[in-house]
Amino acid sequence: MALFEIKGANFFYPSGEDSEIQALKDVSLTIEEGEFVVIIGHNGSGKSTLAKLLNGLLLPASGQVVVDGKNTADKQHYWPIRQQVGMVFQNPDNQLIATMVEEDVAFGPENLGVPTPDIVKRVEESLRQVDMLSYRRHAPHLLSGGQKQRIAIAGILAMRPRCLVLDEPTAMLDPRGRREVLETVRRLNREESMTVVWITHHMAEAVHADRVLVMEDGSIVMQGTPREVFSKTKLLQSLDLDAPDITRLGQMLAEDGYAISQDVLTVEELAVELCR
Amino acid sequence: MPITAHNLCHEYSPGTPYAIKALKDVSLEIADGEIVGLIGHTGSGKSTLIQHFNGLLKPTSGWIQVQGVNTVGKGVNLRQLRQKVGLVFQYPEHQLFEETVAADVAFGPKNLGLGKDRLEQRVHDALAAVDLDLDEIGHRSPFELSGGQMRRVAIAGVLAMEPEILILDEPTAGLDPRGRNDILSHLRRIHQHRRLTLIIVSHSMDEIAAMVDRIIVMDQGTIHADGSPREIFAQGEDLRAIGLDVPPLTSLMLELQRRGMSVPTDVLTVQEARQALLQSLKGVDGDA
Ligand SMILES: Nc1ncnc2c1ncn2[C@@H]1O[C@H](COP(=O)(O)OP(=O)(O)OP(=O)(O)O)[C@@H](O)[C@H]1O
Ligand SMILES: [Mg+2]
Repeated sequence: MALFEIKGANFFYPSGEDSEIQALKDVSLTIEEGEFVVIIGHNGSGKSTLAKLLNGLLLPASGQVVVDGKNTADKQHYWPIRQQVGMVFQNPDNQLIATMVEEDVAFGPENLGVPTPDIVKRVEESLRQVDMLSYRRHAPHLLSGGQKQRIAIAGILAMRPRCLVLDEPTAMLDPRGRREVLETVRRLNREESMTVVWITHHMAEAVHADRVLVMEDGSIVMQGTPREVFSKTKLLQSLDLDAPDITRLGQMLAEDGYAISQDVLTVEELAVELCR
Repeated sequence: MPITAHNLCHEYSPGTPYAIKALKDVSLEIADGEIVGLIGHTGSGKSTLIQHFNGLLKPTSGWIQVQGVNTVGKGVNLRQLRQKVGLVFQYPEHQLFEETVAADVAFGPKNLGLGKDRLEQRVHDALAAVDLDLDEIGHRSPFELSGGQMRRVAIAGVLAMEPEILILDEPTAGLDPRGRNDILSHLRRIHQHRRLTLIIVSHSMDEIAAMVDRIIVMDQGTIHADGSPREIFAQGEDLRAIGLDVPPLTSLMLELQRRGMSVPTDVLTVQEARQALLQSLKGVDGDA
């Protein structure tokens, strides 16, 4: 069974006195357990709204969102779904509240009513999963942005979720922080089959996904493997999006008559092709 | 009037166990009309430095002079300084507070004593500059926008002030690729028209490299390097050493050099990389 099953979801925000904005238009989407899905698309295209539908933070006006067989509209599933689908947001400073890292991570399981000895175990395990165990007694506000995001992720892992939904988790981070967070989440996906939904404006972060979704004006307008999506240059350009620099460079050199594949994604791949 | 800093030091929470020296003896001069990129990883002191440029922070020691105003001086008119020095913060939601988008963008210029028509024109133009439509979005609450739309409104609010010095902290974070290009080309355009001084703080060098004249690299509260984008890019390995990523194209060139190809590392755009590779590949064919 798929982990997420979204069928014909529509969503409207009220706007002013008597009008509304349709943020999602008839969106249908299936996400399998263990998938790494990246969502890209313009500002205001509906990515964050879709993300909030995934854990029932928002409910569709029509259509349905089913998580692990549970409809998010059903009140009795409210907490189980929150626990199974964890959300990480852009601003690392707004997500950490405690004065010590391990207190912060313990916050989620405490709210779930997990017994104390288990909490201690979970906190340790989660911090180890994001490679931050040695910071357990540090003050969160003194950490770097990337470290803060990893602590936020640990706080979610401590609730033992099946899926992580990350809404532009790297937008405020420097390159080192970006790499740290992306690598941490990729490892969780690879080694622990954690399902991941990753929203970004950075095409380079989409390169390792199983599937890339492109949203435009409330709809999913393209999807496929990164190679499939990024080799559709014309379609991407018509959406004002670009493949990653490396892919574009490869495509240009191919036009110049060199035998470079249309879908190179990484520096290494292109270097190998150029040195052949 | 240039920005001049002399042995600027800034310490947070001095005299406590949490004291942090965020800036150490920074001396620099930024001339009128320059476009400067300020890069460095989190905690390297960039944000602390720019907050000295409009007097939000004052030096612990040393001094800084902006638009002829020494911010340490007694009785300095910081309000006046802030009308000339516009600062867009890293987190735009910290900068928004009015009930509607239109009121938010009008907030700064309203204090400049403009007539109603000119004020409206400014608000309209500033929103247009970030590709937002006053009629469409002006009446909405800034807090009910998508993340990228919010950032655009925050930038518009500062543009509407028409400052002489414009400082933007990570202006493109959270913007889609089109929005990133639009903002940067708009900044370039107003720079050409008004010759204002433009300072852009960024994590991603590749993004600003093509538009700035000069890049200042900060590391651990000091100026680590200061030069043209090409000079800075040529030092790829050195940048990695202080935790900055080199752009993918530079990284490709470094990798090709490692594999024995002779290519330059100071390419700034995909087009430049293409030209450099065509040259180098032709050279190889020619030898064969
Ligand atoms: N709280 C809200 N109230 C009213 N309208 C909203 C609200 N949040 C978002 N919207 C609107 O819904 C639409 C979709 O917004 P959403 O936040 O899902 O976009 P996004 O793809 O995440 O954009 P970004 O890349 O800027 O984060 C936009 O038109 C936006 O203005
Ligand atoms: Mg969003």
